[in-house]
Amino acid sequence: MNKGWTGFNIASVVIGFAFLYLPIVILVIYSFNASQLVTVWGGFSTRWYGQLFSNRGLLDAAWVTLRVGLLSATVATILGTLAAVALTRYTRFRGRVLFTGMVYAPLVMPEVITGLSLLLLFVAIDFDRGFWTVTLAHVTFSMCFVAVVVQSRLLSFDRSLEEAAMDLGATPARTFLFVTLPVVWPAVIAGWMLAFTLSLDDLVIASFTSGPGATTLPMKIYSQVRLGVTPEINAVCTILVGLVTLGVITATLVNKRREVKKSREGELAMA
Amino acid sequence: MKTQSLGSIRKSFAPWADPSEKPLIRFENVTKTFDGFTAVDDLSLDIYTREFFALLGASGCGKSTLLRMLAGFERPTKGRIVLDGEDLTGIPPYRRPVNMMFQSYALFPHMSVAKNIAFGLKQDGMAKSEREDRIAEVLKLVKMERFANRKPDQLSGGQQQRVALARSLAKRPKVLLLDEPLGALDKKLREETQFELTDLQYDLGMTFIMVTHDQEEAMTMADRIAVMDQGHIRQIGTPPEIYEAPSSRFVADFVGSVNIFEGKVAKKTGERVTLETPSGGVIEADNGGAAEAGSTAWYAVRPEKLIISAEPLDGPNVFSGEVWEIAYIGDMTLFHLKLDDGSILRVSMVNRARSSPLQLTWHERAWASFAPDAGLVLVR
Amino acid sequence: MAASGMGKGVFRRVAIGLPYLWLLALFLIPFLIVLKISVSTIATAIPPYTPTFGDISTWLDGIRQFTFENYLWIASDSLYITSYLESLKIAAISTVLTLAIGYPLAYGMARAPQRMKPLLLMLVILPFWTSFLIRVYAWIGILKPEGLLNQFLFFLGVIDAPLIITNTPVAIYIGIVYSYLPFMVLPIFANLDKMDGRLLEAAADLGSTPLRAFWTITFPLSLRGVLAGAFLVFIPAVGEFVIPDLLGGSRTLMIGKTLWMEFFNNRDWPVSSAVAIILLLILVVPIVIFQRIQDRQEASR
Repeated sequence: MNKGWTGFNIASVVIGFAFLYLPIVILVIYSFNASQLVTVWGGFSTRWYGQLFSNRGLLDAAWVTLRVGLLSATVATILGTLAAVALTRYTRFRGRVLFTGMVYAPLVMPEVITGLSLLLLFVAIDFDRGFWTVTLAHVTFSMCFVAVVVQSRLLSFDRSLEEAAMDLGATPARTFLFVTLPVVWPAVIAGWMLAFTLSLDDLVIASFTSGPGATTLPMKIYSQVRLGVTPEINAVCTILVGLVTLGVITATLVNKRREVKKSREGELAMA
Repeated sequence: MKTQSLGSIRKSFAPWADPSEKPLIRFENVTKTFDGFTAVDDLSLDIYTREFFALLGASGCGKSTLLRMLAGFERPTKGRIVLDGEDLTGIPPYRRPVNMMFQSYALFPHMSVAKNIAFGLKQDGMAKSEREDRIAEVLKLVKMERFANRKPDQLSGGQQQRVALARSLAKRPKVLLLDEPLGALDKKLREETQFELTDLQYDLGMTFIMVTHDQEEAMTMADRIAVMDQGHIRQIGTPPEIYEAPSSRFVADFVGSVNIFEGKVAKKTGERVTLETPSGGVIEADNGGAAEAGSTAWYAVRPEKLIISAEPLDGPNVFSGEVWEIAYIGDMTLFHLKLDDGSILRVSMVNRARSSPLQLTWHERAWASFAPDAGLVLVR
Repeated sequence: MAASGMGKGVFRRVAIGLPYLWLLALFLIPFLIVLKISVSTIATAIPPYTPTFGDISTWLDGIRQFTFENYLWIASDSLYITSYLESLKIAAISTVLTLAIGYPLAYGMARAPQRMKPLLLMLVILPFWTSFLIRVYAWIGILKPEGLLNQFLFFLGVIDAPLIITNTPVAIYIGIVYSYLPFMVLPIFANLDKMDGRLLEAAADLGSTPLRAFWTITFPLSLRGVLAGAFLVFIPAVGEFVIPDLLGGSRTLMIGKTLWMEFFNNRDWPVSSAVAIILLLILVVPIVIFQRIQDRQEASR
């Protein structure tokens, strides 16, 4: 369907993307605004970025968020990948319906309910709220996203590869480790990145499950945003947007280079 | 039946005919059901050492399930499989002394050719030097030495097929299982590879079991063929037995092309029977030992066993009809005669000369006939 | 089929057991606790409900104290009913608006030259990776009375008094449409992209005008993508908290926000639990429909 790249189609794409990107672009521009008044342009300045690095609270929150993100994404990736294997490879076990339900439910569960229920659990078992409770909470909902990402790759996976490995003498665990995992690795990485960004991004669940001393960056931003737009927050947001963009572009380039390398090797091999 | 005269191609090799020979593999009353669907139904089968055995059937006939049960990917619902005196029930695929070549080849995409072959050897804890010798040996066997460091996606289909074969041979299994081994190759390559595989099997002295839906492939390669249908084996035999002495209408029809006449056994003297077809035709047939006088029987005769003529013919078993279709295939010409009762009689004629002496064309009357021993009387 | 192939060994036990236990402990049990607390009575102690879970023996007492009081309370207070209805209304309107913007975008992308598609797709997905909070926050600066939009409109001379958009439902619509647009675009694009272009050629060949062909061929065939996109927007929008809180101001009630307030400001845990349970019951209907559509899509593939 590449016919009909008409004026109308180009216009809808351009307008759509303008809508998606303009607010972020404006935010980035105004983070370099010298004026204290956020909506009045007062010339170019990086003073807000300078101020950020002396804002102890913000830096602490960023550090907490990073630690929670790295840890929860890693645990969620392990658990989510195992769950995906269980869902696709073991069609029969006791409680499979409940298991499937529990993997999918958090995907559609409103965050307020997930947060509320986890908080009530931590209170009920008298678990001190802080870094660990936020991490546990993040693992729980992001592992389900990882499971879905890895599952879709496992479904399109040629099952005879696993059978071949076992036929050649590899136990199920070795088959998983040396054949299945390497083949679905890109999906596992994508799952990890998704889990990591979900954790970095989360405000609601963290607000419920966090405790004193474990304020995450979104919580910090939120409490300041409620008081109004400040150039400093613009600067924080710009840094975050920049990091994400950098990450996505790097990932894309690495992928592309690998593909190019592969096809070149292929051409050489065929020659 | 005259099966004695239709022996194996390798005349001296027929362990199945020797009662003192012990089978290498025994399927004993094996049944496999999937959610109420019976894929394999109370099936027993013996396969002997050094045999090239083919399981032939349409998709869904249970042939792949049989192979997968032997490999250990499926567990029989009932019955057991014995390999070399050892009951395989409960032994997982990774502990069975059989290896499989997969239809999709199932080459590990993230490993080089050499690593693919090394994979199975590593699982056995084979020492590195020995492993390398073995890899070199099997690569030489399939003529792929130069490709050891390629990744599977840098190989052509035929090359991938060779690597898959090398990988499954590397562990020197007691039995090699081949699931549609040539299914993904184009016609020319397939024909070449058929002979290579049989030569290889003969030279290595290994036991091969192949699953295929392609009768030509089975006939070319196998010592014995089992024709399968709906979870049952309809007939086991050497390729000539299957083709020339099918035991039922199903097998006759499944393997090759055939004309089948239905009739009542009007007269029986020893092997010679006279069949009367419902439309009044009379067939004189040899090989009628199994048919009983007065019962319904069928006469099966292959198109190439008939002769066709534009003039009336003498003798028994002459049928006349209108030339309905003519298909010139090159090496032969296929005629469809529409008989007076409306049925179609297929006759094929080898084109020995570049121009046919037979000047028949559409809608003309023609005569076809066959000798009493050209076909076979079937009671099933 | 291959269940037997993978065996019933240690690996299988780990692959099923670990995530299973984790989800039981941190998803199912917490949910049951919410259910239980929603039928408990409020107390002023901390935790602010009775009975506590400190002692297993009190669990039985809890069941004896079983009450529907919280649910009755919700049913009798117009604040909650308004919140539920308002949430559904705002989610529905936002879904329609998202479709109105998302469909042309997806359509344009599907018709783009083949080599541009990966880039366009990445541009749609990229905002996913940017913080939700930041994306909502970005709109505050634009929409507020002295914000950029009003400045711009003043500059053009279109208005002479600032438009009041923040703290109204309009701001929420904008926020939801903006935040969830990729969820709408992706399934529609996926559907349109794999559509056989020859269908339209066939339609034209049979005498259909392009517009007619769109409504009789393209749109019906993309309906599954549209439905999937609509549910992917509608379901999370109903329970949304951040957008109504930051853009909607205090006068707009949405249930996610009401629950948050009930919990953090009023500290009435039993009522907020009951609010959560009812919200889930409301969402079950669209979720089940969505699942059906997904399953049918799976099956048709």
